[in-house]
Amino acid sequence: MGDAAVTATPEVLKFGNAYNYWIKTDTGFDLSRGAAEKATVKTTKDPITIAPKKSALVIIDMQNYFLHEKCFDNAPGRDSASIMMQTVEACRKAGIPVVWCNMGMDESDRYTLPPSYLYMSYLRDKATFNKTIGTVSVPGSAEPIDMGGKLIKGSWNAELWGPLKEFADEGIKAGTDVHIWKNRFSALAGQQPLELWLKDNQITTTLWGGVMTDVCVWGSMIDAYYKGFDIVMVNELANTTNPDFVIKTAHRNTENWGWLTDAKSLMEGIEKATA
Amino acid sequence: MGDAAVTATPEVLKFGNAYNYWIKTDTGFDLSRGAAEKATVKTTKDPITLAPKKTALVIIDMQNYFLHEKCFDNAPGRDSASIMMQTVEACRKAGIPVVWCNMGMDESDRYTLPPSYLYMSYLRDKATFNKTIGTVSVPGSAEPIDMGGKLIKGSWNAELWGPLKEFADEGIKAGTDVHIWKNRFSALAGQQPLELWLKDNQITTTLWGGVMTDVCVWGSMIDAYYKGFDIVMVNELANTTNPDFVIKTAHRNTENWGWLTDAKSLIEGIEKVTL
Repeated sequence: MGDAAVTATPEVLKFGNAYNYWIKTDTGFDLSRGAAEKATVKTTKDPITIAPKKSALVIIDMQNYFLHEKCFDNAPGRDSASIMMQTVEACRKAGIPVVWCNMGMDESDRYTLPPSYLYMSYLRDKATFNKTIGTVSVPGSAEPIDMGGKLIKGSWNAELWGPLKEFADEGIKAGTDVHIWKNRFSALAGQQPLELWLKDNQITTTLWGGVMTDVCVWGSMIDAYYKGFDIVMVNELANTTNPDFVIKTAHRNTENWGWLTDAKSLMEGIEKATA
Repeated sequence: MGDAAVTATPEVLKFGNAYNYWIKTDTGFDLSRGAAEKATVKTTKDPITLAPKKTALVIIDMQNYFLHEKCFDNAPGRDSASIMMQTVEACRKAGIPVVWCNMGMDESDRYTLPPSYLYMSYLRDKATFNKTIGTVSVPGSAEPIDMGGKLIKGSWNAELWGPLKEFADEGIKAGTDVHIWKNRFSALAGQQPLELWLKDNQITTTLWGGVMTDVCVWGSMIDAYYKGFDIVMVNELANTTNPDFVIKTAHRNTENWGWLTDAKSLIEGIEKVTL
């Protein structure tokens, strides 16, 4: 069915079609779409019951270019790494796949980047995309290393920041995490690999973190919303250096069209997954 | 070229590839991409020089469902009709096509609408998409008329509101305006007809108005941005019933990644088209 159907008990509402549907009762929203294993998570509004196997945690842009002191004055992003890793570990245990989604261009991307994006990016650091953005001192290297071309796939600046790199590599090796590139603020604008990965893995509920809450995180979330995914922001995992009113807007929109939860509530909920 | 090139005079910067590029000088941004006919328009920041033949004014959701008193308490939207029609007339004179883009579903849309959208919509008016939302008294009809299925293509509630309907029909008949449907907040999410129309007409600069500034207008604008279009919001033409902080966010984002102009500046600028 493609519509809300009010059933015999007016408190039970079903929305959607046979593959993609929610059931709303007075105790909350069932997003599990009939999966065997479920976990109930508190949010700022109603509780949601998710299916770990149909959920994914997507972490946006936690890479050197947006976090390392040499590139960006982003303390909120850096400071979130600890709670982020705790949350990722809980997701791995619960069977919720983790997607590390960084900004990274290749040569075809560079030639098709719109002037609006090129200009906005140039304004920030006066660097173009076709040559190295300089060098940086890193632990373990006597000489400074090349940061690489700005946001170019394979460069140091497109790699995950600090402790996250090794942490994610462990997950990727173990098969619990994946790394996927994006080439716009939104990981789901146009035709990008994240959408195909979500579809291939039959994910219907997306959980979000990363930087910046109001730009690349919310930008990805709203495009995910249009494409039919449930959207859940994990408060401490999403950070920004932009003013409070844009965070307030992102939270308002998240609560209007999805849900806002916190790391503790998420971890507590998914720990208690039931079959 | 796919990158910013700093030329001999450091004040002239070119961004983009051979089809889609901007030229920035200290007098503003040339978005005309080499077109013969140009018009310079003041904005809240730098002036922009656009090409009427490569520009379109897109008006979002100015339909009965979002504007008529029977459906929505949206005085800001209704009150904008006068300045909107003045601006449209100026665009018609200048050769800038006008797109009236309303929310309208068909049967395949209803079956693929995600639960997140179905629920959000149900919350507002407790109406589903598969039956009439009631009747309404209209001038010129002795009996109340059927408002039709919610946001269904061809229904009264999906038609342009009040004076805009006849006004747009004149433009469509004259070939200066078109009507295009959307099926998500954003007219450019996924694969929708507006994107193809813009491409087929080689439009590179998009001007925006309609309701709500922060939801369907900004939602469409940011997706247009990702897809390579220049984005310009026309202040008085974009309205919302949502709180001030979300308007502030939409304006901030518009000024960061595009331009914010006002109806008077736009009308004055395009009146003076030069070859």
